[in-house]
This record gives sequence, structure tokens and C-alpha cells, in this order.
Amino acid sequence: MVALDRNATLLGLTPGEPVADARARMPDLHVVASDSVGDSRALEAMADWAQRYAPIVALDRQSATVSGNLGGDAGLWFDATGCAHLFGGEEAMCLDLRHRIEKLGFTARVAIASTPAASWALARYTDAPEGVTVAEAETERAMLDGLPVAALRLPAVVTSSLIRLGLKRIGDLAAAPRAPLVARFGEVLARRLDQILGLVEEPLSPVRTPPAFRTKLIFPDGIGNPDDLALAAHRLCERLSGQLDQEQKGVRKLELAAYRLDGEVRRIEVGFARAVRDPEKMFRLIRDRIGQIDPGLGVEVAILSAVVAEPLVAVQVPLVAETREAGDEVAGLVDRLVGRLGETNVHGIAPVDSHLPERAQRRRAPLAPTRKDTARKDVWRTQRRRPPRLLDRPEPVQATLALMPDHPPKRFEWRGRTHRVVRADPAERIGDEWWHDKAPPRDYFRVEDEDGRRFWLRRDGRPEDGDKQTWSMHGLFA
Amino acid sequence: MNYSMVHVLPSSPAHSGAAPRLSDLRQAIGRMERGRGVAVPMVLPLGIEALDGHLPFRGLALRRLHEVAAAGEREAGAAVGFLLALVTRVMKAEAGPVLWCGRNPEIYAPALSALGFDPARLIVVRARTEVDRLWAFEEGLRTKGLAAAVAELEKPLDLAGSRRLQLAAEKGTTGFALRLDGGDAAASAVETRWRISSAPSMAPEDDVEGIGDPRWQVALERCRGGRPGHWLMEKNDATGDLSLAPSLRDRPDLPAGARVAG
Repeated sequence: MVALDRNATLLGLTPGEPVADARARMPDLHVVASDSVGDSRALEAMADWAQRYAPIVALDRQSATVSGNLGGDAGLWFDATGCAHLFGGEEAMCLDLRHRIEKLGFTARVAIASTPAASWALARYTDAPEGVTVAEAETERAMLDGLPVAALRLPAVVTSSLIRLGLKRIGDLAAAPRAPLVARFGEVLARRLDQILGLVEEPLSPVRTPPAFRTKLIFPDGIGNPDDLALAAHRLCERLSGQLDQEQKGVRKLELAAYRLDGEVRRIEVGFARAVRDPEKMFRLIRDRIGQIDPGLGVEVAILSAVVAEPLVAVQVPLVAETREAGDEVAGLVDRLVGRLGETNVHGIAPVDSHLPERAQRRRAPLAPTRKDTARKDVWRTQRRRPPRLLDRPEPVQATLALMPDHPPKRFEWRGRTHRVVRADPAERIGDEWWHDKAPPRDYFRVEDEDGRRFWLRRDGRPEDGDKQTWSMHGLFA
Repeated sequence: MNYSMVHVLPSSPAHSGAAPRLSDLRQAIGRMERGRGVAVPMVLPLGIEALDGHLPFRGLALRRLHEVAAAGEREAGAAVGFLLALVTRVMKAEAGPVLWCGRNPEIYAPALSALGFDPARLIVVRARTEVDRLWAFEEGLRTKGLAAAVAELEKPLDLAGSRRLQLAAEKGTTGFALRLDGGDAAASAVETRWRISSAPSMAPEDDVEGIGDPRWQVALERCRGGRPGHWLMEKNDATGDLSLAPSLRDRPDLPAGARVAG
């Protein structure tokens, strides 16, 4: 047995006990197979959901190992700094949190304290009436001193040894001389003690990187109408724009998260080719996508975050006003295209220094500023002629070979038609140099058929090496 | 209900006593044809007398919709080559990037720079459906600040669709609809429609088996305010310039089927 509900605990069962023993004592015990992967996923989903309360939410993955509680002890940490006022105080926020988690079908105990370690301990080892403990600055130390040493997240063997030594409470431990304890139980003891007392920092690793800029609206009754959502989004854009303005920042990527009444979270993300701060520009892209948010029974919290922000000077003085306007229009166009077709489907092209034709170009962000050296044309220059259209996948052709081994074919069949080769350039050999990687060698022939059509034929395998030759169509010349 | 108006200025040459100039008449006709009082388009001469003289405003109308089609499914290379020659010329006259929409535009940038087409100015848009391609194209046409917008289309443009695109282009940027499948064209409102097929090249003088500069049969199938025409053209691979193929350079206006004794 890895976890027990409240009733089972009251009946005196303990985690770790074999199911058979427990069944012997309680024949009508209800047993459910444990699903640690599912549990872990559910906890992650809850962490996602919980960001409605605070931007930094971290998973507590250690509690199962340190508390010896096998699987029934899961936790979330919030950095609640500056979040509680939105809910009418810390206690109200905790009650709200606990109430909502209950509605999702879980039992939770909540504590707020000045350190992550203290909140961990207080949530688990105080017997608060409503399941909520708020430690005030003046009383926190006293509350902690009264907690059992098990609340220190120490390995179970250390905890039981401490109890045997008569150090049952955190207060006992804190008052005892440090050095011998550390010598016996290791550095972890000192660290845990310092963490809970706030003497050393314990960083939380948030499930998602908290955005630098974030603004939120709460709708107690939930909203579901797309127009209402759009209105809310517009309001959020205005607010976020204000925040960005103060810091002279613009946003490159925006996320709108809709927290639904049923506990689900729906998110949409929009990107901009250039940093923007104009609320109308932000809203225009969000509005196009807002239909993708399924409000379910209603959305109760909407949070707009600047996922990627970068410096944007308030007034850009353009050399020519018209040029700037045109540039803005193009940036707006790119944003709309990306919004509808997706980021991967709108791109620029940059050169790559590769001897393989299909690798000589790569995609880059559209409108990305070109470095001076890449802007120079000669980076693209190749010694040999290249076709303006290169087929993504070379298509096999049936070639009727010439008698001379290094000549282009006399005829070839491509896409069901036969082309007679009338003219051709000498072969271009690729992949010959010994310093290139092991790409099999290939040759290219530019050929012209009887009607003047020009093709780039590729031959894999060299006749003089005794290779099997395969021919394919790799490009179309003008 | 569309209201149309032809605006005749009191200072037009017809009233000032001077003989009306051909270009003024063309302007007036252009306005009447359009029926929207739109001014004469900005025109980009192609630099080939035979073509420029044939086109109604002595060049390619900018900020309008043009169509370039392959004369058959195997003529895609020729059609792309001719289109690139036009777009490269437009890029020299107009600042800004070029939007290129298609299902999977197989543009090969190392070849473009040799034509004088700076690949850094390309914005490639991949759209799986024709609806998305047309949408992206129209968005591009509306945008001031692009040098040109190109769309590889897979269906013929109909009258309503081409009108819509033409209107968008008038407010923004020069557009080229590219048809590579050799399919038929429907009646449409494009400014010009070109149909391209390959023609055998002339061997370089020092190499009888080698490939010469590319040649194309260029048919102007539709030309708003002008007549259809047909030319054998050659592109200088070294300079990227278009010209009439040398053998016909002196006789540009041969009607089809004419016989010339020499």
C-alpha cells in the first residue's frame, strides 16, 4: 500500500503495509492500483492550473522519498510574494486554493510561511482546522520549533536516530550544539535546518519560466462568450502594454492563458517579427486566434504574459518616415502570416557553407537582420551553375546511357515522358574531396532536351569505381 | 452598387488646343476601362524595345496583378526563369522584401543571387491549401513596403478572385500569380498573362555540344488595354538581362506563320 485516504488512516492502516495484511484486518477495504506516472502527470497538470495564483509554481518531487510516504504525498510550491492581495489576503487566498482543489477532487493542506521549507513543514505537520496555516512573521519561529523533526525533510534513518537521541522537535534540534550533529548525520542536517529557518536560500525551480511581464483578469462567475473573451484580451493587452512601456520593453511572444471553471487551462501563443508594445497590434493577433480557446463551462481567470520581451526604445527615429511605415507594414504582414500558418511556414533563407547542393541553404526567421557578412552577395556565389528550382526530393529517372562513361545519358524518362538529351555541360563532381565526410560521391549534369528544357540530372555512384549508378532529377533550370 | 466616374480635367490637351498625346489618350482610356477613376499605373520598362513598345504603357504596370504560366507541365523551369527575370527587375525598382507563397516553393537561393535577386529579401510562405495560399497572397498584395508578391497557384484564378487580388495590388504591391502545372486559364482580371515554354538554345561558339543561354517562347496571352503578342526571347546568363533572341532581333513583328526569304 502506497497511499491511504483519511478513513483508512483513521482505521489505523499505515502506508508500506502489504495489501494482504490490511485485507485480513479490513475485509471490505477498497484497493485501487497505484499509477505513479498518472499521479505525476496529474500533479503537473495541477501545477499548470495553479499558475492562476502565482507566476512561480514548483513541483515538490522529493516529498515521497524523504517523508517515507511512498506515493501519497505530493506537493506544490508557490512563490506567493505579492499575489495574495488579489484574493483579499493570504488566508483568503489559501482558503480559495484549498476549496478549488477540493472541487477538482483532491484533499489539500495549505500553508504560507517565509521559506519554502517552513511552508512544506507547516502544511504537513500542523493540524489546522480548515487545512490552512498562515505563519505570521512574529509567530513563525515558535510554530516551527513545535514541529516534529520529521518536518525537516531528512532521510528517514536520520529522523529516527534524532528521535532516539531525544531530539524530537525542531526547537530541540535548533538549540542543540551543531558541530557534533553535523559530524554524525552529515551536512544535510545543517542545510535543512538553515533552510527552514531562512538562514540559507532555497531556490524553487518553477514548472514554467515565469514571464517578466504578466497581467491578469479574474471573472468570478466565468465568461464563455467569445466577444467577452476578446474584450478581456483587449483590456489585458492595454495593461501589459503599460507595463512594457515603463521598462522600455517590447514583446516578441505573447501568451494568453485561460483558466477554466473546470480546472483546465487553455493557452494560445502569438509571435511578432519585431518587438511590439502597441496594444492594438498585440490585440489584433490575439483576436485572430481567440476562437481556438474552448471556454468550456466558462473562463474564470485570464492571464496575458510576455513570454519573450526585449528592449524597445520608446520612439524610433526613422531616417525616412515612409521607410519606417513600410517596414512596420511588412512586420505586421509577417505576424499575420505566422498567426494563421504557423511559425515554421513563414521563413527567410540564409546561406550554408556546404558542398552538398541540398544543404547550401537553410531557413531563417523572416526579416531577421542580416549580418553584414551574410548580406554580401558573394556568400551565395557558387563556382558552378545552380538551378533556380531544386526538388526537395530527387525523383528517379530511367536513363539510357551513353557509351562514354562520363557522359550524360542519351535519353532519360522522367514523370512518364522521354527526353532526348541534345546538349549538356560537363559533369560536376561532388563529394570527391577526401576531407568531406563519408557522403557517397555524386555527379551533376546540366542537360538540355530537344525542346530546350533544361534539367539538373544527378548520378549517384561512379562507373569507374564499379559502383551501381542511379540517376535522378534534382533541379529545373530556367 | 458601384459608382463609376470618368474624370476629365479642364487642362487636358484636347482642350488646350495642342494635339492630344498618345500617352494622354492611353491614360484616359485606361481610366474608362477601369471605370474607377484609377490613375495610370506606375510602369516599369522591361528594357526590350519590342516588348515595351507593345505594352500599353511602355512597360510592366507596377502595383498590378500579373500572371505567368507554364505552357505545359514540363515547362515549369522556363516559367520560373521568366518570372524571376521580371521579379528581379521589379526588385531593382522597388524597395523591400519579396513574398513568395506556395505549397512548397522549391526556390533555390544559390541560383537566385547569380540572377541579381538577393535571397536575403525573400520571405517564403508555405501554405498547404489553395485558400491559404490565396489568403497569404492577398495579404501580401495589400502590403505597402514589399517589392513584390508571388504566389504559386494550382487552380486558375476566376474573375471574382482575380478582381479582388487586382484591387489589393493597386493599394499595395506588384503581384505575380505563377501557374506551373500547364493548366488552362479562366477569364480573369489580371493585367497581363504570359505563357512560357522553352526553346532550344544556341550552342556557345567554342562548344558545339554545350548549352547556350536559355531561350523561351514568350506569349503575351492577355494584356489589359493592349494586344496579345509573341516573342522568342533569350536571357543572358552572365548579366541576367532579357533580350529578343538574336536571330529575330531585327524582325520583331513577324506575324505567326510568316515566311521570310533570306
